[in-house]
Amino acid sequence: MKPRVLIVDDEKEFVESLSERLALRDCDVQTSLNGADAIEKIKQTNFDVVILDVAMPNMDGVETLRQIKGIKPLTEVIMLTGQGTVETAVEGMQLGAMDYVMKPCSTPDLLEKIQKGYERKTEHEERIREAKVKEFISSPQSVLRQG
Amino acid sequence: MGLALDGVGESGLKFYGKMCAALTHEMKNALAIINENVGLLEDYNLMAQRGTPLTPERFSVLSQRMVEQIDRANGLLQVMNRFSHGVDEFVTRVDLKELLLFVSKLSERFASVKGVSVEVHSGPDKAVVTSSPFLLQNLVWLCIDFAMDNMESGSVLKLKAESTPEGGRLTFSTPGDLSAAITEFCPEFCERDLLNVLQAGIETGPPGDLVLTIPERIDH
Repeated sequence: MKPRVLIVDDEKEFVESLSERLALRDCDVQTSLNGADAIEKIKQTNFDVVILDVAMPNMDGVETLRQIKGIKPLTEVIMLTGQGTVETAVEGMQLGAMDYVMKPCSTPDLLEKIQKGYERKTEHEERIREAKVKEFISSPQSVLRQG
Repeated sequence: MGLALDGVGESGLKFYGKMCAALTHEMKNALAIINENVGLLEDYNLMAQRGTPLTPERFSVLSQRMVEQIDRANGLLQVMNRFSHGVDEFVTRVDLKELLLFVSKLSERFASVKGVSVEVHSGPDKAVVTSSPFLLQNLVWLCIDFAMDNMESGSVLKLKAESTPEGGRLTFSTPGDLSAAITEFCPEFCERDLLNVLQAGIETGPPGDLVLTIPERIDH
């Protein structure tokens, strides 16, 4: 299965070019130009990885990250920063982002991080499935309790 | 005077650093777009070598995007260069409308992040004073930043430069009333030193505007 990736950045030309490059590398890509639109898309689609710009108008990257982690905690987030320092990216990682890349970014480096995020999320989901199966085997009525 | 200069120096350095950081951040965005399009060009080249038919329009889109970003980066470098030259002459003739246009250009990224747009207007007569361009830029930026902090996203900040018998007047208008906020802003702000060095006045206008009065000539 292809990694489902959402790119969030207010730089339209950047988003268009990067999404085309990732699509050529077998990623299933969607894009958002602001945090609010990204949140709506994340509610509707189970993305594996979100590439999230730190500095965006209105809802910035850190606030968008907080909301993403509130809605879909398993979705892996890679912070994208155009700043010379990694301060905000580090703040993002403290809030649950998996990693960061600096603009302009190297495609092999970004792809490696996307792949790592995809594998981490898949593994995490698999563990949750296994735990649920174990719970069901040990107590079939637990399924009824969960509704 | 020593204390006043310390406050001005600190404020000036913060202003210089903040603007340089914003401009270089924007340049990185332009470079990032060029980088992705160069990458796409390489991808297309590989696809063509493998026999994928590609239309010339695809290459044309990429080259157009790169030309636009090179223009953008060049524009940013010009702004940065002009900003750096703002300290060449400590005191010189300053066109106040040009000053507002330039500082609004410097503030573009901050305005965009706050979702605010900035308009520059001028009175019928050209307002020109003899003052310190860099310190005036610093003061105007502080007023823009203060106004933007008190504005809703989607609103417009209007700046106006006018000539007065005493020199010039700069007005900062928002849809709201800045007068309540200014009582909070003024006593605390170390930029009081900046006002002293520029011999400028700060007050609120009738509809809640922020108004700076700039003397025709500063003594230095």
